[in-house]
Amino acid sequence: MTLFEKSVAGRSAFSFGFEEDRAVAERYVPEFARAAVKPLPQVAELDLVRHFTNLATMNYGVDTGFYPLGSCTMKYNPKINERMAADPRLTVRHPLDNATDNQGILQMEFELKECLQEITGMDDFTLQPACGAHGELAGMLIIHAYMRDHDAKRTKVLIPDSAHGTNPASATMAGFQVVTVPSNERGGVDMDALDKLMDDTVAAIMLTNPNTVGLFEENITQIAELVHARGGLLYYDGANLNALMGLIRPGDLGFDVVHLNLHKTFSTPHGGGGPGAAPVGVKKFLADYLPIPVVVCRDGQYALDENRPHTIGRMSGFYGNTAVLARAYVYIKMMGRDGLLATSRAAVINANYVKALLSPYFPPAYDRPVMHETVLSAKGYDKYGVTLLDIAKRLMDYGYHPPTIYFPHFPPYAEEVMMVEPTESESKETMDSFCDALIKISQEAKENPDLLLSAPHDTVVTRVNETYAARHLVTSHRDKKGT
Amino acid sequence: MQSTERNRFSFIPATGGEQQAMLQKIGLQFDDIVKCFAGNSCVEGGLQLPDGLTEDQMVEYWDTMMSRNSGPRKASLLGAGAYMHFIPAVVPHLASLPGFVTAYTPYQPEISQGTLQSLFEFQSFMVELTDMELANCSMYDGASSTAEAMLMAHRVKKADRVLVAATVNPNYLATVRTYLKPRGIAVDVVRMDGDGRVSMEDLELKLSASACSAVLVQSPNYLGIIEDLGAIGTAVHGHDALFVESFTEAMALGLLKYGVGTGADVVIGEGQSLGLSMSFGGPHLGVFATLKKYNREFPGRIVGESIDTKGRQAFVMTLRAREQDIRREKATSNICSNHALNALTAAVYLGSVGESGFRALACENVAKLQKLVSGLEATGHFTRVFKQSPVFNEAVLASSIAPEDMRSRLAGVPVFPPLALAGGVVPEVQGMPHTYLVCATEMLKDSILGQVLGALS
Repeated sequence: MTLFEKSVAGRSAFSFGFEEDRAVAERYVPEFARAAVKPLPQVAELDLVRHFTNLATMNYGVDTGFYPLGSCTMKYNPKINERMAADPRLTVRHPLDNATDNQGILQMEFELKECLQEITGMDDFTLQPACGAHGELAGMLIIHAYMRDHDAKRTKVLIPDSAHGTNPASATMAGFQVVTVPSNERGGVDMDALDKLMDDTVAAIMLTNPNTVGLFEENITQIAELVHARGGLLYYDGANLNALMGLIRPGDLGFDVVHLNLHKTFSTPHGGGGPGAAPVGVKKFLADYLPIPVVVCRDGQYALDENRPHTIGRMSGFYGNTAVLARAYVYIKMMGRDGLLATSRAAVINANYVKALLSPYFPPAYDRPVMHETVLSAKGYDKYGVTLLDIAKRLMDYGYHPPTIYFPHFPPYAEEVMMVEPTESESKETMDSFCDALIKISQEAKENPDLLLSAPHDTVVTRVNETYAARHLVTSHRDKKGT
Repeated sequence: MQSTERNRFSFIPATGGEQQAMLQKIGLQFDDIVKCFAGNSCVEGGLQLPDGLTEDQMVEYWDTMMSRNSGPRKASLLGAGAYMHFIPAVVPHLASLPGFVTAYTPYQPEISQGTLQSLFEFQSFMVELTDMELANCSMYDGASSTAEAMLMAHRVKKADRVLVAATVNPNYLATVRTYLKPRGIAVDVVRMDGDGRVSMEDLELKLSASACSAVLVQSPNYLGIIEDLGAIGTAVHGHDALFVESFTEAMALGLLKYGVGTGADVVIGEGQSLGLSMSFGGPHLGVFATLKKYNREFPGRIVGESIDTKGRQAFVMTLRAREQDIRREKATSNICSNHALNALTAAVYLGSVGESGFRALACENVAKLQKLVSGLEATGHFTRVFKQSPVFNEAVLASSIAPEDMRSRLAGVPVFPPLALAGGVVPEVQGMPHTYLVCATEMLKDSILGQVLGALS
């Protein structure tokens, strides 16, 4: 039952020292602008508390259990991050207040920028983009503006077929035409295809490395040389940076622009779909194109620099998700140089361990060591009448969040694949139990497929009908009243 | 049990021994795994970063750093897109529940009903407050929401030109320009009239000049003035464009009319005032509401009500065929993660203040501004510009006090000083060369107001 349906006229959780004063409205707000009463729920404070506390229990989170959602890096969100980000010296600060009155926050942002520069090998950063896709858009707008100034005929962007959907969507929003590059038989970019496609109309190639199959792009040096030699730029989608910290840096590999998902690699919580933050790093020759303002330090004073002659402009109302940046900052400070390296090392070992345990039951498409995640196939279970979706739903009964399923969808992955990313946060026994559950489910598929077909059984709702939702479109309480 | 070396990193559970056992099962050493780096240059000698801090060291480091901000503020004369309001304790309490905070996007509805239902309730609140038919479950912030509304209008109407009122928040206008520039969509600015509102004459002129996809108007506008949205809507619908209404102060939704009643096709804005802290700029909350006829065109995620296999009420993400993970370059937007947790926070806030409380808050904001303005005018150093125009909780005042002087006079008062407007934004007042955009909310208690007036007298 929604909060609207729990409403009782006259109830209230409102506790302010004033009451509604219609006379004020009538005196100062012209009649043409005054709205009729907007019907909102009326509940007491405990009604509200119970309502949302119960809803929170109907959710699965990292704090609940194992969340091996491939490509999403659902690592542990340290609680100290939350405490620091809730500091009123940060939360009760107005973004348009003077820089001199906010030196602490600006110092934090500047130091974060410096850390990210070191981790990625880039020369400058904007902290403004709100999420991965927003970062991609900022990065591609930078490339678009640079090419407009230097080589305007370059209107295309190359994107591997394995890329996240945000890559082509962002490139399109930035005004580019998207050209898809096929993958080779080892899961990397097909070099022959790249050679043919990389001409003088191509502005850039967008790469995720390790890619969405969890494989390091073996030919990255050759790709960088080829693309640069023919006048293009390299864009790094940092969705999978969790595998590489302290091991190898995108800047050293030849990437010109990178975005980082702080809500993945740098431990800020995902919040059921955001807010995140996605700083964008560039090499020096692109620094003038960064969105304004940029945090800088001059003579020990921190400031917001609006003077970037070639800037792409503003990406948002202010300077980015400061409270999210603060969480990532705290994480980096606490991990330090050795901790970040240990993180990537553990993430890689964990992914290969899960792959080793599950390979006999769910074979990987490529028999190569993986980085931070592994893509496994559930092909062949159709002969028992079950699909990967059924296997995933059954995992919920065992108390796990399912892995990412049916992604990536490119050959040879057009069929039933799941992408498992344990992250460094998980212990050996958690992964052992998870793999045991999947192996048990693979047995159930043969012996009692109905168990899978009707799964999940132990959740607050059983399978939800997506077609029904689309056909009987009810997206608000007002729609419900209408039906 | 034998004692072993303690792990150095509290966020990584595996011990050295366990990692060795795992590598044994894998059948490789770690160095074999990273052989795929081939001839690429690995980080020589490790990252040039300091050693990690322990939690108690971190708290101390943070404390020293944050003490470099100036002292606490109890109210704000500064608005212009971010507003200081009272946040009831129940709001952050419920919004911090780990079930909400540590979950991912609700792709698996059976174990995500908490997020899904909360977002459905947020959408329901937005539909009522904006008086529109459909609201998505959030965008990043008001500015990016505005830019996305322009792109949606372009998808619908196809004309490579949009009209934007000169009285729209300049950072929103700048964001719109950033998004539209590479697409070759022209941004034409509609002039302000002598009352600080959209010039109806210039609007008609520009609407008639050539085709445009959208007309964007903000109310209360950047100068705090309430626009006659109904009249503008009528003018826009005489032409083939979408009327996009925007707001930066969501508290105004409690009192002012938006949406279908004023001819809106899209209502977008900033929801930060709904229980979210200013946090030096973010994360805030983009609101996006529109009409059902555009349900294939709008950006962002939306939650719908459905049923499970036993016929019970259940929620699920719907209208997914517009989104980037399915449509790739043909998607309506690249947006993936949004500001879901902030949408949930807004739903808790609105549930907390309730129907009459939200109206009461809106009225209180109007009253506080009037009290502040008359107090400032009584000092003799201030006079309102656009005296005849109705305002909500912000207004433009001309003053004889220069910005540096303003800051130093208010240094001992726990408020954020008002925004000094650049020259040329509003007409000059004789003898009062400086102009300010002044804001008041329910936070401006009489005792603080007294201190403000004392400092500026």
